[in-house]
Amino acid sequence: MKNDLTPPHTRGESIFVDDIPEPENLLHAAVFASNIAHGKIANLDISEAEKSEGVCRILIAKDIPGENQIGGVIQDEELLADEVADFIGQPVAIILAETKKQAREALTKIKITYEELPAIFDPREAAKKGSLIAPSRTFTLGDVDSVWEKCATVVEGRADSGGQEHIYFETQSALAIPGESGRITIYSSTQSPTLVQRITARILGYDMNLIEVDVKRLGGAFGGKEDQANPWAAFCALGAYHTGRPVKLVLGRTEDMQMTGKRHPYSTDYKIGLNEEGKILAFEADYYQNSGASADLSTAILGRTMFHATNVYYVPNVRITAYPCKTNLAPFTAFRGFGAPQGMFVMECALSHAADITDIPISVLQKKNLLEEGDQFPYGMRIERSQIKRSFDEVVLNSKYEELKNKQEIFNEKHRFTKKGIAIMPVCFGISFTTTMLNQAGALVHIYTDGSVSISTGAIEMGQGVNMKIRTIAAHALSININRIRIESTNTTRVANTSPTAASSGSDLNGKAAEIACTKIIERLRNLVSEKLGSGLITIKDEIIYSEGKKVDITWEELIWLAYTKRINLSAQALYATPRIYFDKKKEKGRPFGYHVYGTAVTEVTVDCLRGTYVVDKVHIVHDAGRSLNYLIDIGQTEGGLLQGIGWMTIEELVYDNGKLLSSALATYKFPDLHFTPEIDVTFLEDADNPEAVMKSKAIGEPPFMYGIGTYFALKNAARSFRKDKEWEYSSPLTPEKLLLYLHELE
Amino acid sequence: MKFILNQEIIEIDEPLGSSTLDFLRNKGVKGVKEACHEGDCGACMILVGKLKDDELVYRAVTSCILPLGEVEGKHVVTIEGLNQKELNPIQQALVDTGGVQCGYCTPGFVISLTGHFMNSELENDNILTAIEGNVCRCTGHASIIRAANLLSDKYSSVKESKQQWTKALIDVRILPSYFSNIADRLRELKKTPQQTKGRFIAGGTDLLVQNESIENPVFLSEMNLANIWSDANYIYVGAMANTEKIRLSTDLNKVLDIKNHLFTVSSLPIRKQATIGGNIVNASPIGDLTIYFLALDADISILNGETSRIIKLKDFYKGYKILDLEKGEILEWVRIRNEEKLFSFEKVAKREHLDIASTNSALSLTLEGKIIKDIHLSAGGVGPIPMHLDKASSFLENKKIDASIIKEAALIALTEISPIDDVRGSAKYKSLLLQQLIYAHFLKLFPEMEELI
Repeated sequence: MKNDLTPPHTRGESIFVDDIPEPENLLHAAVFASNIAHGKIANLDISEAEKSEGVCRILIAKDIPGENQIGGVIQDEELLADEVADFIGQPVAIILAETKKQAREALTKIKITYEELPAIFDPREAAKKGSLIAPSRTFTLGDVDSVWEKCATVVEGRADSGGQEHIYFETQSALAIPGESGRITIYSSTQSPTLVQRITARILGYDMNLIEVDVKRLGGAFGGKEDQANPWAAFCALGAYHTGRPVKLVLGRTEDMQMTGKRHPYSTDYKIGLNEEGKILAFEADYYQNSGASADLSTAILGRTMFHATNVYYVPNVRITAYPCKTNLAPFTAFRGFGAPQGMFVMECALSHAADITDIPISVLQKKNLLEEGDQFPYGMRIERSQIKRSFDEVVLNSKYEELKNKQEIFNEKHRFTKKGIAIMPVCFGISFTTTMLNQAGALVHIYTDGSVSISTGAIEMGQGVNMKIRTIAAHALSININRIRIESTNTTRVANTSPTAASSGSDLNGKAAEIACTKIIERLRNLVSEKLGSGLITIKDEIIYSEGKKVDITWEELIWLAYTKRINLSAQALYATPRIYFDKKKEKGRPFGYHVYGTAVTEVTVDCLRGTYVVDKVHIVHDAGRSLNYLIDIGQTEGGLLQGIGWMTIEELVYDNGKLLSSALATYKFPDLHFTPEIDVTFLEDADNPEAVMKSKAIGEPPFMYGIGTYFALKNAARSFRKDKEWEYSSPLTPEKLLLYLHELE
Repeated sequence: MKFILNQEIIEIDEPLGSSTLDFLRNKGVKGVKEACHEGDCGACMILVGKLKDDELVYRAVTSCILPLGEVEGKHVVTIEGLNQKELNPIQQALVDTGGVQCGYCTPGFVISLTGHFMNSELENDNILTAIEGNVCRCTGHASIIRAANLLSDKYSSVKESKQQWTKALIDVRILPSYFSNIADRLRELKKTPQQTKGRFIAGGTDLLVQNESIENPVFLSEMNLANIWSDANYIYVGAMANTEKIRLSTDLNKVLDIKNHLFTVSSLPIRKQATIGGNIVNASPIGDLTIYFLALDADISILNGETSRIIKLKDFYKGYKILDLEKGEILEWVRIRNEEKLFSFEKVAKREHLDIASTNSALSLTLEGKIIKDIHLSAGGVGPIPMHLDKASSFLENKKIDASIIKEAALIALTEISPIDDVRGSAKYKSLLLQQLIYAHFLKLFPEMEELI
């Protein structure tokens, strides 16, 4: 038990795909991609590239033995563009060469011509032209149409939010190694090994059992490797299939940024109605999601936008309609929050707008409309065990919000160009995949004859600490020292049919599956001891075995050895499926979530109104982590999520020129660095046990991201104390450019 | 060429102008990570140690944009060269504070934090400066900052033991014991003389971003061009003086608050690599140092073998990346007058640190009573070259200082520029920003004018 199983990250010994010792005979792949946004491929000439030094083989669409189709939810995406290219960065050909350099050099020798077709980049234009990925969806509650008249205030406006690049530090990567009888083993940086397995099998025309996918860990993912890890793995497998040699593909940063999807940009029209006291009576919105050139996960993401359209507020009359708009950009994809941040942003814009019109302070409007126990969401679910009011009140108290606000007003009066701002951001986030079938997870637990434990689940470790959490859960379930427990790589031959590690659900689902599997073995061990002693209630606590509360003279190791000699099964497999959840897509009603996570943030900022620059000074958070499984991990998820959210609202900007991404390197796409990081003060709610999840914990991955939205409104608050005569445009990210143009541009 | 990689002396025959990161990873040194390959993230950070006046000095460098030839005869330390049997205190602190999530950026942070304790020549003692060139996408940095502060509290005294710092760091287990004889081993390494013809490389921090590798590199770092010195009339800055050296120069800080002005010019590892000569000759329209020295009405000396010529920096630029520089000529030094002037430097980028400006600008002037004299205004990012704003400057010359004159000068400045829409902002924004930066210059120098603008 001397194993220190802390991952060797600080020693640089953790293995990522590109760190796996290269097998002999390895080929390196490079991707040749479309450089026009929309066009028929008139001529693709690879003859010269084939002759290039070191090139072994070049693969194009017709080299795919199975289906040229990688669409997961909707089958509308080719692995390699065959006749038509739909976006800049869409893969057209794969070069396999002896070295990475040779593969890249050959890229320049491929010749391609197109017949250009009209391209669309704006989701509203796409909707107008009927260019949709799937039909629009509408949620309704009450009857908005009859209520507008009764409202004391009705405001309408438009809110736009921009896309966001994941910047997982490890770029998309895969290594495929051919084995005997057609087997291909793929090491992939994916959140969803089963998806890689399924798509690769489809591409090769294989049974899934020929493909083995193994994932040790990811160097970050944030949703960007949920659906979008598939093509790179499929390319490697296709290369291995054709050449019989191992193939590796690791995208360079700019390739990754140009070829892969990001968070969806949205443009939304909203209308909100309030009574005289500021109670929201009605909310209506049309969301235009920029889905990109194919579906990817867009429809599911759009669904979550709708589920979170009213955020933490009770609105009795709601009608929201959402359009997944097909454009000629790389298919947008999952990113922490999965559409919810885009939905919540609109709601906060509407409220902020209403506060400006009614002159009721925004914090009063927010507080007045917080969900009460039993209130209904537009999708029919009623709120249970809400922690929203607690978190709201606590953070207002902890941060001394009112005092800060007064101080800021005085400060702002005294300073001409330096203005301070503050905002509250309450969050309510539903936990479960909204696609109900995905809420399942498997685990396989072995206890070896020396008492050590090996656990495999469907969870992918990507920095979020799921392995540590599963160890904690298993150590608790087995009641043994955590150092006896090792978490294995995620492998499709050990745990099959896994859901992606996504939707914040990794520990909830896989932890629970591991717990069930551990419990099965513990049951067998108890029965064994019980049989041995003749009778009695057997319990195991901290590796000590008790019969009727009396210590039995047998160690954990001895017990396991005894079980082995008695031919007891020391392995167990289990499946966990979240109970009580359902959703009726026809009625658009149901109970899609196991539970909700709550929390509130207060953000303080300072704006330099002469230069249009700003500093996020401090963020206070009171968060509902249930009974936290691991304080350090959950704090880290809260702080990390927050900073990504702040980045999304402020400096992270996708800049395109006619469909070509200009901000395609870290020199041009800026995200928060050390100096940009505010002081962060996180408190977890006490006594917030959650009966709906493993060990009374709560999921943590996504909800904190949305605290970042508060930064936008704190900046608005500061900017408005410099200038009020100009109408505020609700458009994020609020870059220094947008801010300066607001502050100083003439009407 | 030979160098020491961690504990081992290695001798290689690789292109000297290729990336050190690529070399290390191809060699199987996998603790060095690639995440951006352009010096923006710090995942590939290494320590490079050399003998300077026979004393061992180290600095943290982003190995992706470090030409391999630059490590000849030096000590290259990767995370593998810091690992001991147990986690060292820096590694342990990161684990204890939760400063580690996916782990991909982590070795880079360990390297930079280690560099902080090794870097006795670093004047700025803030440990956070040491890791400003490292970015983490997972943690939100807060836990890493906690770890850094913890380490600073606990080990800052070690830094003070200047003479025996290697021993002191070995004693507290920040360094493994083999560091104790690295200085001796470096003394024994012989360097091969470099070729004299080829492409000149100063710091290479932009060249290796734009090119995977440089053919036939001639490293100017081999020439003795990095000094900063002064006489009664001028302060001279050698073309190979790096940005951090310039920032901390005693001579320059006597007449300018350059220590603070250049703090937002890239991260520490880049500041220690990027040179003023590289910045000027690279001719980026947005080069911070170029804009800075343009407003100081700098002269430059251009060397051609034994002969040299002196011209105004502002006359050096003839068009986009077109220079008054013949083949074989190199920049020798930059000089400014050794006198105190009213001076202001402004830079606005999307992100305050580690970012290229949308627009930058600098201003220098003297006052005779209320009359503006010897004024020079520069601006970057608003035209094809780093611009000395001649018209606005000459308009202001000999004028009595007041707000309306400044407003008029800003309007004139806007007629001189030709900004374009690009990834750093719209043309409209850059014009507005320049106007604001011109106001900012004067408001900083004359706060009493605040009400007038």
